[in-house]
Amino acid sequence: MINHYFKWLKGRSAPAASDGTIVVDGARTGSGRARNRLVMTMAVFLAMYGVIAGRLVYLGFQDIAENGGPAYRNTASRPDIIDRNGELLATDIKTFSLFAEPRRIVDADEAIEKLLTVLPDLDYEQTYHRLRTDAGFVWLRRQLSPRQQTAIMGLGVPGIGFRSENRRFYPGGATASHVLGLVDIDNKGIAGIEKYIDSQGLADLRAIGLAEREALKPFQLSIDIRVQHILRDELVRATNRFRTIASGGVVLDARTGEVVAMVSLPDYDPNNPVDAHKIDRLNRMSGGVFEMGSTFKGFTMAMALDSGEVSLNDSFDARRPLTVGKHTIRDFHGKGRVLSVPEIFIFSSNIGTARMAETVPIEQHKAFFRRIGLLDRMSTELPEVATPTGPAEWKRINRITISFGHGVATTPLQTAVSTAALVNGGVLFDPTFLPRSQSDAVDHATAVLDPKTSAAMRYLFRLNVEKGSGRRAEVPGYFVGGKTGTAEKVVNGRYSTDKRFNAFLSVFPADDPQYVVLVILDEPKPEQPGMGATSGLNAAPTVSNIVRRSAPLLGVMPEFGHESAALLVSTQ
Amino acid sequence: MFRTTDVILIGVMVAAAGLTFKVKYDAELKLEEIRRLQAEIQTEADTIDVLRADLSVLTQAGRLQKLVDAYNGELQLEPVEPDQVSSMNRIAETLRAVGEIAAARTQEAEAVTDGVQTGAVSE
Repeated sequence: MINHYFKWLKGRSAPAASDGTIVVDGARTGSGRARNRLVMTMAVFLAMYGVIAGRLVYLGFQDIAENGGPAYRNTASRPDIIDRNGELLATDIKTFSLFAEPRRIVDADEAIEKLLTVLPDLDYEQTYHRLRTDAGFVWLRRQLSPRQQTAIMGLGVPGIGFRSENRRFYPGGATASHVLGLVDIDNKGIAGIEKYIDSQGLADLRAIGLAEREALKPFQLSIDIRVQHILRDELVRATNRFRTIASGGVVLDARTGEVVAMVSLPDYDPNNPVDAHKIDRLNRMSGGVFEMGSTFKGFTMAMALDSGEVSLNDSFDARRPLTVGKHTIRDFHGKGRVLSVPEIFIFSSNIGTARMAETVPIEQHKAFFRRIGLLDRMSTELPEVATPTGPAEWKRINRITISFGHGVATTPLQTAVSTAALVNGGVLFDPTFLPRSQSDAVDHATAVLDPKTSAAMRYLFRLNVEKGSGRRAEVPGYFVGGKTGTAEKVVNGRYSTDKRFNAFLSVFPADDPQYVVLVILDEPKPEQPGMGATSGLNAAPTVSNIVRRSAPLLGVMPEFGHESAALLVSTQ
Repeated sequence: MFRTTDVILIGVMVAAAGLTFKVKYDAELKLEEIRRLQAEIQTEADTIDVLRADLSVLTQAGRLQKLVDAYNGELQLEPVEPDQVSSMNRIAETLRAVGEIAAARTQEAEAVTDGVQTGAVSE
């Protein structure tokens, strides 16, 4: 046929060729019939080729995915999260989900037997029934490791396949759960730092398809996972020992505002967050507000000293309870005498604190608490931040109860941040969960206190551990300073006498504070019947253990043979 | 029949077709090789991710602590006490402190000295 065509072409293009042997009939006769036939043949062939080409184009536009299992769910990539020393806190790992297409399975028994060599815990009967159905595909096992996947591929079973998906994995489990937060099934951050990362542009990057895993730099936090573990370990012990309903703790760098560790118990395992949304799993440290109790006396004392109305050498009458309207303010461990300012602090006298607060006008009191960051919502990276609550208008009774920590509820993290300002020379930092150098910290700092007041507060905190209610927080060599807080909890609108909220607020080393450690214990019970359950007996020793174990890791050098007299002299 | 130029041209055409086919075939082989290598790289990268995660799980402080507790009979590890920590620039001070501690321990030891002689105690 092609030969004919060739000849015909030749005949047309060279009709006058001298070589007459290849002239065909059509050319010789000059008749239109043969030409018509040829044109028709060409048309038929063109149509055939056209159909084939069209079919090819059509097939080219078809999706190939139709033949294999469920649609591919593209889970987003997230950057790794690492701690301040580069330890891995969260990472994406690729997992493989095994599916089968029962119609393509040749021999279900053989397939299952082979699979059992890799997945020994596969349920034989259940799998058999699944493979005998007429379904297009069935899931056999979700989230296999790459090793298992390779092994199953090696079995060469027909009719099975894999879908890969990214899964967020937290090697530390619950250790840093409340800081890291959570991701949902599509790998989007829904709580904690994970949510913060998304809000910082990762979501936008992903929307335009640039969030490739290779391109994402690890996200570094200020958390030190070793200290985080110690904090959690000690809090778990305290929870068991004092049978608390909840507890929490934070270790804060007093010179930069970095959060080095933060734990809130009970917590959850972010790898299997089945109970992350239970109401008692909230992040108490930044997302819960509490009446912090006597730890607030430190702030009242700083306010009084900073106003210049009160000095460390003054004393106040704490002999009789203080009556305001129909309320009477009493002391928990009343000494029934005139107390000097340091004594008010170390005996934690409500009356003395109230009388001292009253040397300063109410507005000034409120302004000071606002300045030091106790009354407003703090700004930090974590999305879970609660707003402190308190009376809209401070009356005399309000300011008196607030002076010793009742009537204003604030977040524990915020309390620790304000304490850092009390002792670090009077500089308030925004707390941060990201690494911050001391030079950067200056940009986030506000001077809120006279450095002299700060020195006096260091002395008082230290004195309280040497001689006062915080003795059990002492760690030889680390010079711990601190203040106990034992608040009565409000139950049905009244202060309960047997339910307590304990806190211990500490700084170390007290001569040059580098870290603030705050521990809270919610409803601790006496260790043994007949013993007390005050903060000095449970929260203080917990802090002591935390400092003893974490200080060497934080690079704080122990010092011995140090006299606290030096501190006292510096304040005068 | 065919002229020499025709034969040459046909030869060239065939050669060109053969060459094109070979280039294309080689390119496909290379592409396949690239795809295979990329898949291997991806597998290795995924494996590295998993191994890093594994390493991190294995070196978790909580896990190590449990192991130390479980094998404390053999390991006999204790937490570091503050008086065991110092730095190079305070070595003299520390030695003095250690000397004092040692002296205090000797005194304690002397207070309870019994009649038993050991190799470490001189006459």
